[in-house]
Amino acid sequence: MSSSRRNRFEIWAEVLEFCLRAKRTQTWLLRETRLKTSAIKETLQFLLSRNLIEELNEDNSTKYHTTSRGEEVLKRFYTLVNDYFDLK
Amino acid sequence: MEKTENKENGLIRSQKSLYIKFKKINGLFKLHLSSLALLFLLGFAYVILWTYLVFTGQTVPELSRIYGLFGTIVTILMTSALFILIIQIGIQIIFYGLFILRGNRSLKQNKEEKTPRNALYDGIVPYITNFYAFFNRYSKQKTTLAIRVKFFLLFNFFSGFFVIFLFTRILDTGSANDLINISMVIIFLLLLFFWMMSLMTSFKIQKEIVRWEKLFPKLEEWAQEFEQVSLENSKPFDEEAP
Repeated sequence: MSSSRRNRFEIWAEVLEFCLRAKRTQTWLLRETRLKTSAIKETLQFLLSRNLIEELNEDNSTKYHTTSRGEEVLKRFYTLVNDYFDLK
Repeated sequence: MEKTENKENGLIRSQKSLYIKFKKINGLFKLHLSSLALLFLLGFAYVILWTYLVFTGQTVPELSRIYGLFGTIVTILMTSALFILIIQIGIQIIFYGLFILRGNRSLKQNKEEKTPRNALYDGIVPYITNFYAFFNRYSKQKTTLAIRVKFFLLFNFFSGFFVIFLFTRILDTGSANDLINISMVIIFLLLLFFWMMSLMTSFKIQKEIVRWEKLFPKLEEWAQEFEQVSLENSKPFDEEAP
C-alpha cells in the first residue's frame, strides 16, 4: 500500500494507535506504516507540535508515545466509527 | 486518577467494540471468498465433466440433437461463455482475496507486549486504512466500489443461473457410468448451495460497502477538526469541538 493512497487522517490515527500500545521508534513506525521517511518525519513533527505524542529518550534511542491528549483524539476517532456502525 | 482510569477503560471499550465489528465484517468477506472459490472449483469441475461426456460420446448435447451442426455451434459458444464466467469469478476471488489478506494482517493481535498499558489492539486504524485504500483503488468517478460490488452481485446471480441451467441439460441425459451420475448430482447440489451462499454474502457486502462509503467523509471531517487543534490550547480535544 503506497503512502500516496493514504489520507492524512489514516496516517495520524495509525501512528497514534501504534504509539498508544507501546513506545515506538521512528524505524519501527517506518516499517509498520510503510511510509516514506519524509512522510513519517512530517507526521511525527505534526503530532509532536500538537502535543499528541511525546518524545522520549530511552536506551540511546528516541521513542514516541501517545499522550493523554492523543488518547482523547483517538478515542474520538473510535467513537465516530463505532457510532457509525451502530446506526442501522 | 480515577478519571484517567475511566478514560482508559473507555478507550479499551471502544477498541474492543470496533475490533469485534471488524472481525465480523472480515468474517463476512472470508465467507464470501470461500463460497466464490468453491463455486469456481465446482464450475470448473462441471466444464471438465461436460467436455468429457461430449467427447467420449456418452452424451449428445440436446441442441445438437435437435438442430444438428447449428446446435453444436451454439453449444460450443455456451461452453465458451461458461469459461468466461469462471474466469470472471476468478477475478472476483483475486479482488476480495487481496483485501482479505491485508485485513487479516491488520486484525492479527500483536502479542509482543506482555501487558499493554491502555490498548488491546493496534490493528483497528490499519483495518480502516486497508478498507479506504481498497475503496479508493476501485472507486472511479462513475463506477464507485458500491456499483462494482452490485455488478458482481448481478453477475453472480446470472452466471450461477446460467451454470445451473446448463447443468440441468446434462443432468437428465443419464450416463452409463454410475459414478458420473452420482458425481453430477452431488456437484449440482453443491453448486446450488454455494451459489446461494455467495449471493447472500454478496448482498450483505454490498450493504456494508454503502455504509463505509458514508463513513469516509465523516473521517475526513474528523481530520479537519484534528488539524485545527492548536498547540497553545491545552483543553482536551473533545471539549474543543463545536
